Amino acid sequence: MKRFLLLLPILIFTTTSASAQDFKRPAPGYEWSFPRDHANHSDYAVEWWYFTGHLLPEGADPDDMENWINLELTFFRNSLPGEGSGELYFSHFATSGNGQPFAYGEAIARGILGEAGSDDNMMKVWLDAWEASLIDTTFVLEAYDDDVGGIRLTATATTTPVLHGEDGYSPKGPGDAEASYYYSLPFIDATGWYLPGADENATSLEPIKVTGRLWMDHEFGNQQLGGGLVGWDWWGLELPGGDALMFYRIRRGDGEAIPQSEGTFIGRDGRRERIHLDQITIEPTGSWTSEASGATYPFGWSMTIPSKKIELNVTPLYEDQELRTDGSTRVTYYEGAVEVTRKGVEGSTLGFVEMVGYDR
Amino acid sequence: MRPLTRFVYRGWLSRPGRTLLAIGGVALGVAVLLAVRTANFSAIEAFGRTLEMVAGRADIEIFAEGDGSFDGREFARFTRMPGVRSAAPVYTLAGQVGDSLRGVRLLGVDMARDSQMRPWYSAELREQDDYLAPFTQPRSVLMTPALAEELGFEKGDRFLFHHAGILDTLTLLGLLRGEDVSIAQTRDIMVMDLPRAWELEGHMGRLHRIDLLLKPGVDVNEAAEAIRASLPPGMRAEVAGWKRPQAKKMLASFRLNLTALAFVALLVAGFLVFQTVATTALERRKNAGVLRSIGASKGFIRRMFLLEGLWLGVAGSVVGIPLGLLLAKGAVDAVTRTVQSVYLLETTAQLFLTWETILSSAFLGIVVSLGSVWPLALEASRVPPRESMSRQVLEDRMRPRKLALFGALILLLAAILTRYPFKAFPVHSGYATSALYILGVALVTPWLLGVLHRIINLLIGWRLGSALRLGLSVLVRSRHRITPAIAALATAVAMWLSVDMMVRSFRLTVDTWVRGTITADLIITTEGGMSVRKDILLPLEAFTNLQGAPGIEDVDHFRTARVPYDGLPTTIAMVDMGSVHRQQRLHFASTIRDESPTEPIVRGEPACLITEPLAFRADLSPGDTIHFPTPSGPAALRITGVFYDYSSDAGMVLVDRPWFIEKWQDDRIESIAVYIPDSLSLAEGRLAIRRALPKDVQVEIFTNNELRSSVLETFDNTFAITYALEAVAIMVALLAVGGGMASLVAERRRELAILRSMGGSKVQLMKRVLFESGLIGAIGWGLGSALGVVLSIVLTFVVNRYSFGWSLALIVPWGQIALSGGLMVAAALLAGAVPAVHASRIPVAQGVRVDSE
Repeated sequence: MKRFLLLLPILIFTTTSASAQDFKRPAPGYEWSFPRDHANHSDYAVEWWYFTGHLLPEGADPDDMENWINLELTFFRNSLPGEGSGELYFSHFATSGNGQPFAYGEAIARGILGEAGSDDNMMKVWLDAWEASLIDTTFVLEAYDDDVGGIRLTATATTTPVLHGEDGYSPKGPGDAEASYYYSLPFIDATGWYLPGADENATSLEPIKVTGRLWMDHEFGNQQLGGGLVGWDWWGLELPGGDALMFYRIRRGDGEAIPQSEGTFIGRDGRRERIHLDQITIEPTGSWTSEASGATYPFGWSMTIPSKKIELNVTPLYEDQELRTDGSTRVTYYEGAVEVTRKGVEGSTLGFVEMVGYDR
Repeated sequence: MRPLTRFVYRGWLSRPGRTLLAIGGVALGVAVLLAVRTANFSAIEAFGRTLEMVAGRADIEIFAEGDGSFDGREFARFTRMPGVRSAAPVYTLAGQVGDSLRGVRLLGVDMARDSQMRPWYSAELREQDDYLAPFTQPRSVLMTPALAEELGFEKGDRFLFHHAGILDTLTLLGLLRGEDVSIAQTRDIMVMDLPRAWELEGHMGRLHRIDLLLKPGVDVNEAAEAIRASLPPGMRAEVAGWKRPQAKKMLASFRLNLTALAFVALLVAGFLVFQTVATTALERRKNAGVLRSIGASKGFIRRMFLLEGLWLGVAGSVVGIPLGLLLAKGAVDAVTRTVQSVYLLETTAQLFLTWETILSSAFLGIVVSLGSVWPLALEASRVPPRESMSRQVLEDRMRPRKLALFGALILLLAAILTRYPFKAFPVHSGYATSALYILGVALVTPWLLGVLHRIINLLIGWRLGSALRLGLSVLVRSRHRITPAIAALATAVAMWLSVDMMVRSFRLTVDTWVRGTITADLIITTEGGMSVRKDILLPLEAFTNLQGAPGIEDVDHFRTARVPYDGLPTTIAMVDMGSVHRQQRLHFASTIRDESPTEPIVRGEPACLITEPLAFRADLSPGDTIHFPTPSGPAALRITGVFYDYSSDAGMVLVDRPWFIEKWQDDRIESIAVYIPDSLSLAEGRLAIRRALPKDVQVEIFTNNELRSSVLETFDNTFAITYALEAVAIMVALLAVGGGMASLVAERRRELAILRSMGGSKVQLMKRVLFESGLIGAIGWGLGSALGVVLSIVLTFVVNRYSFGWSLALIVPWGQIALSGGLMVAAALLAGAVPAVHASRIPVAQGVRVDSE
């Protein structure tokens, strides 16, 4: 699920029946083929690639969570309805940590002259100078923005893709049409360079050598979405001890999650297990209000999955990790690094949380 | 309360009117300085945006030589280039709209992000539901409000668009909004999403231009050089402006000149502060004498005077700053209203207010107040108590001749600085020179009054000149009182005149610049637009019918080539010298005496015209010969004239068409300037051109007049405010005159009373005082006129010339000088009215008492 709804404000005006007919609709039984499926699916109207992750400067203490550089780099492709209308590409790029404040950049492009695009055969998606691609088995991420800073990373996945829902068919509502294809690559080892943004607090404008871990999400489909939905919460967490958890909750207007909300537990041994809404309890432990948007977000959660004897405490590392993307997707959302502790297991780990729809 | 403070405080209370006048004087001085500076800067900023619209925002333009369009795949790499803030692709089509065949230019742009380059339409569209309509609806366009109004179109209307032999039906999706659309150059524009525009003629993936906006701090020339090195053959990258840097420079020049004039306002204000504070402090002289006689120390007296000055300065500044802000706010609001009403813009002229301005205004109030009492403090503490009780003594201590000698030295220094300025610091040198002139004139004034008195005595017999002589002798006797008022008036007049000269010069410069940017009534170019199409050449044959066609008065064929000259690429511009001669459209800075600059060229003599920047750079003048290479070998042309033109830094050489064709062996042209008779409208002119051209020739026709007049209109409106502020400065000066006259009357209380006792009527007394006021006005005006001309010369020939390499056209405003003369005398009479009435009401018996003071 995740950022699928991001495009809602834009598409709400343009989603016509014609466009739905122009593009394929997700259905169960998709035959996955990697690495091809990392690439673009132009038969589907909407597609996105989402990289989040945490990078540690060479020589820094990994136990001090503030040393970690948290990263978000996303690409959205959105086919416009009507013949000859082409596509719109959006991209968001954000960093925080290691003494730098949270900063983000956004971009929009038509992709009509090759300034943005995505390849149908091999994974390569780009918008101006921001790019994510897969060369053989190595992911390459590059982005630079004056405020946000720059990254140049090579990364290798340590697991096979984790298919969510029903073999990657991920329902997003009660109707057949309300679904997408969705998988993740939770443990990607990354190494490369990070350049702090041109913020006045920047201590160094030299590139810093970094190593760390990325999490990739890839989702595609068309935009048939159920009515009455206001937003969603998403967690992608590496757990102390080596397991990982993805869970999303799609919220209705009354704040309740729809029953199709679900997630996937990924064991350190490679085991995957679908987690349904009734298997998990999620209680907010605090709240934070954005001065810029006025939105009040939950801030910290205790999560329990009794069947798996998992009890987690999830706490955002920084308060303001809100993106207000008037220049691209026109959505205000919170995409922030969190620290995770697990009852009965030593230490803490990092993850990301996304919260959308709190500004309305 | 300490005795010192109490003393000053008591003094204030005992004469509240005088005290208020003094504080008011300081406050007005501070306020006028603040307002003049703020409003000037705001006007400049507002006008600057207008100029930017004409010149366009792009830093670098990339285009193709040859057929005009190029493969759009060149585009993507510019978006990835370091140093590039944004890149915008442009595809253009020319065509005609509606039944009237109104010529328009259709721009295909990337609607998703062209707003970074041209923030004109996005704002409105983004707030609407149909944000995506330009992408999803084929054959839909946005249009400037002016064009829609002219054509009578409304949102949703469908209309015919003729282009390249194709007839399309387009839908008006909405109006363009933003600053750019106000300008006539962009008035004839429709905008369409790039892929949708390609569909019209099937030119998928083609572009005519790429506009690049660089990140702040990136050197535009270095970036252009790097881009050129990476371009495939046939592509060119140019710094977008041969226009924009000029506009920037022009603005910088305006800003500088107005700063200089704000500085002059400072001096006007300074004289008023001096006048009022000194007058108040003079009242204390007697007190000082009394205090000294009862044992007060010299230090006490000095401190007393300085404290008085300090308090007046502080109080005046405290009142003056809010007053100045209010005044400035009013002025800036007026500018904003102007800009909005002329352009229907949503823009607001910013209150260009800095701490530096506020602090320097307050600094002026306090420092000038202190400075004004300083000599009095010294003098009062030194003189013996007995002497200080008499007024006349100060007079004797002020030695006009010594002051004049000092003043003359200062004027000499100023003259030397005018002739030999510090070229490394032209601005500061110019300011210093201006200040020296003003100070010098102020110092010479007392002596000059005496000289004037003597000359009048010699020239005019007793009877004829009795009133004049008497008036002058009074002024000479009280010159210590009157000099600051005269100096203030002279400075204000000088400011008025030099602002006027400056604004007129700016206007001419702007006008010349706009004319130089786009000349003639109508301009024919190839499809694709003015700024880029320099390298797309038109075959001359297609246009042979134009000359002499009905409705066409004159035609000038234009073509440029670049040659190295004096180490810089210099433009050789081919024109029809006959047309230049007939249209008289150049403004010459210098020519050969008794010789028309254009005639010899028209006759076929090997001669040329050059622009002023070139003449200045290469030290060339009319009569010299210029040598430069051509494809047919070196050429030598005699220069017959130097004309004003700021369209190129490196300068330009204007040559006649036959000569150019012979040397370049190429008769193709870039554009054609068409002049139409005044009786024809531009639309009719357009039609006439269309009729005279072969059907298959695709060209665009631009107009110049609309652009020019709209730019000049903004100019006039934005700068009108500076005149309003000058009026305030003059009022300040007149307050100085009123104050001076009041103290003069107070000083001559006994004398005036005696005159009354001898049978002088009230009316006679009033007349005398008024006459003296008028005399001050006249003298101030005379000195001010001379000073104004001198200041303008300094600004023109020192500040502008050495900082910008060009001179503004120096216009001596005789009309304004005459007008200001009448006005000054009248206003001075008005300023003298209150003191005159006061003089006529002095009770005779009380007035003649010796110890009445």
